[in-house]
Amino acid sequence: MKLFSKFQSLKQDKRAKAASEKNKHVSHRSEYLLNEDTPFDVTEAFRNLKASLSVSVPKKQGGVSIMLTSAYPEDGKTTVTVNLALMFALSNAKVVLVDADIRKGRVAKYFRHKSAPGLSDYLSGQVSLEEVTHKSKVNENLSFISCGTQSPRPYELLESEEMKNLLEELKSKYDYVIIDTPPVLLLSDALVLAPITDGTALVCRHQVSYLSDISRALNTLNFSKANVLGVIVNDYKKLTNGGYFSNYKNYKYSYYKYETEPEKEDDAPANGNK
Amino acid sequence: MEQKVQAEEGLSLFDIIRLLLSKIKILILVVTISGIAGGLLAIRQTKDINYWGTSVDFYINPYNEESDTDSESQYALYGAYGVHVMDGMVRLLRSDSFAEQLMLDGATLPASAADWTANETEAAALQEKIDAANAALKTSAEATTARLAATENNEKALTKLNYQWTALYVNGVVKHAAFNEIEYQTIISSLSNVDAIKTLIELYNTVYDETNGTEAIMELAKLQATDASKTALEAKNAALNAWRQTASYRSTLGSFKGAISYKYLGENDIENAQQLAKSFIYVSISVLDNEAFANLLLERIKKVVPMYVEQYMPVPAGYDGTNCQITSTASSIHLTNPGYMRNQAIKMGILFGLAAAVIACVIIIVIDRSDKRLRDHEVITKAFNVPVLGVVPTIDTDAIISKKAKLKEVNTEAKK
Repeated sequence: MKLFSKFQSLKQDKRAKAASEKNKHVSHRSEYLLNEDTPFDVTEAFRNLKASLSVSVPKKQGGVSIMLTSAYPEDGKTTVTVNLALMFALSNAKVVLVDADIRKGRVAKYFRHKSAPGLSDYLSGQVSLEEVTHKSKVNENLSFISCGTQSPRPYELLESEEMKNLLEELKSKYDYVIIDTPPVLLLSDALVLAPITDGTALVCRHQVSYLSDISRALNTLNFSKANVLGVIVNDYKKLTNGGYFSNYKNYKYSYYKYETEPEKEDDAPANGNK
Repeated sequence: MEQKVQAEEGLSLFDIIRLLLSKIKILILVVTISGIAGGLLAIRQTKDINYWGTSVDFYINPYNEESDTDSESQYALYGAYGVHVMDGMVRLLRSDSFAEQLMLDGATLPASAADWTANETEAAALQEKIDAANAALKTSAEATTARLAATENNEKALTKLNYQWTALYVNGVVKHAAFNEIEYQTIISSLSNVDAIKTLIELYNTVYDETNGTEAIMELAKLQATDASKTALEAKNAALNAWRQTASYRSTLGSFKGAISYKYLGENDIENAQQLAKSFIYVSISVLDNEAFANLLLERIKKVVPMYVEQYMPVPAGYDGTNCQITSTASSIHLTNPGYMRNQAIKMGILFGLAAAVIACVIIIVIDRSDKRLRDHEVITKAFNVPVLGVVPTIDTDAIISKKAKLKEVNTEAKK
């Protein structure tokens, strides 16, 4: 069994490196954004997802806040969140995308923007909301708030009154507030936001996520009094070929290690969009 | 809810087939490699294996002379040798006793002790026994001949002089009263050989009783004549037993028995009356990597089998003897397994491939069953009672990038 685990760990490291190399080749996360070159089935899937979420969340006065999370990293949560927000925007709704993953947010990269200043800076009171809210270039209905400067106390920031007030304010201004959060089984940041959002969707990855992890994530969200709307299956492969082993739990824990140095931005424009 | 994770239900046959088809490349690779490995192993094991042999057919008929084996008249032999008789004969041929006959090449005793043991002491002792047995056999043969000859003469005398016995008895020469009278003088005049007279009297004095007639005395004469034979038989058995204890005996016996197989046409194998009318014994020789030994076996089979069959085959009522002849011109010793290596390679390759395929299938299924990752999104609804809001296919960024690159290229070309 030890050998087996070691083998899986080695494979997983190799996979992570390969994924990293691939990402370098992709050169930018913006390649994952929906555009005219995106295959029809992907676009249609997001359209259906948008429709499902539209009917799932109870309609109220003002905007609707939907939080997306996952059990563990690398489930494609951020990509799904960004594209979902874009899909809502494409249907002429006013959408704001909030990157609540203060430790390692990537939403800004999709729009070729700097991560800071962002949510953490606003919650810390260092900047105004207007300074952190940026209109995306891909669609004028879509705005986004990046994660901001890395903070040593992201949980406290998200738990603060400022966050609740921000959410309310955004709901008053936008039709949809889409929130990207850290993985729920790794960090408790998402659990803070779950009760104050109108709905929570769990993103899992086909042939990668373990059923036991999905179960635990749903249990955790329910325990935190989240309004779980359902599960989104990402990266679905039509021809199942068994895939590869991915005991990526070890990888996940090291992934979210707090870093003292800020992450390097790749291909971010000099001036972020506002 | 955690318990519901187990709702990954059992694997149906369709799932198994689909799973195996998804791994078809791996299976093909495994089967191919295993098949090749099996074939190579078989080639390595069998490349020097050559079997030399041939077949000899013997026809047996209850006459003392050879028959035309293709003649229609042989139908008359229907039922001459029953299956049980043939079965018994073949069992004799398969016995150690007959194998010894082959080893001795039909002789009574081994020719030389040195052929059977390298141990000098053992060889000397065995040779002594062989020599003693040979001498005793010779004496016995001579004695038997003489006695039989004497007995025949005596019989003639007895039948001729059957009424002067009383005279002999009266004179005390003959101790018992004769059943028939024999003229003493007739005996004297008819038997010029004094020894013959003495032999006759000696015989009567030994075995006479009221029930014994001339034939009984003749038989006794033969028995007494074979006293020497009895001695010779004991000497012969001693020599043979000593021979059987030698180191080479057992291995040679095994070689002879293992290389030859005997068959007869059984009841269930008979397809026509022509077959039924004939009794055949089929002998096959097969020797591994020793053409010379195979040739030796062939020569001995041809010589010894007819002798043995004719000696031991029961003669059916109404018939006068046994004849065993070779029907086919047995082909010379030849290679009986051309293509053996190729066939074994194919067989082993298939076996290895199949075994590997089965093992690979089991491993694949076990691995798949142990894989508790999300494979079917419907499981989520069943297991956790939450809806699946959406299923997003893989975003193939490579395809998107290459498409963009192609478009850019086309535009560049268009501008030119």
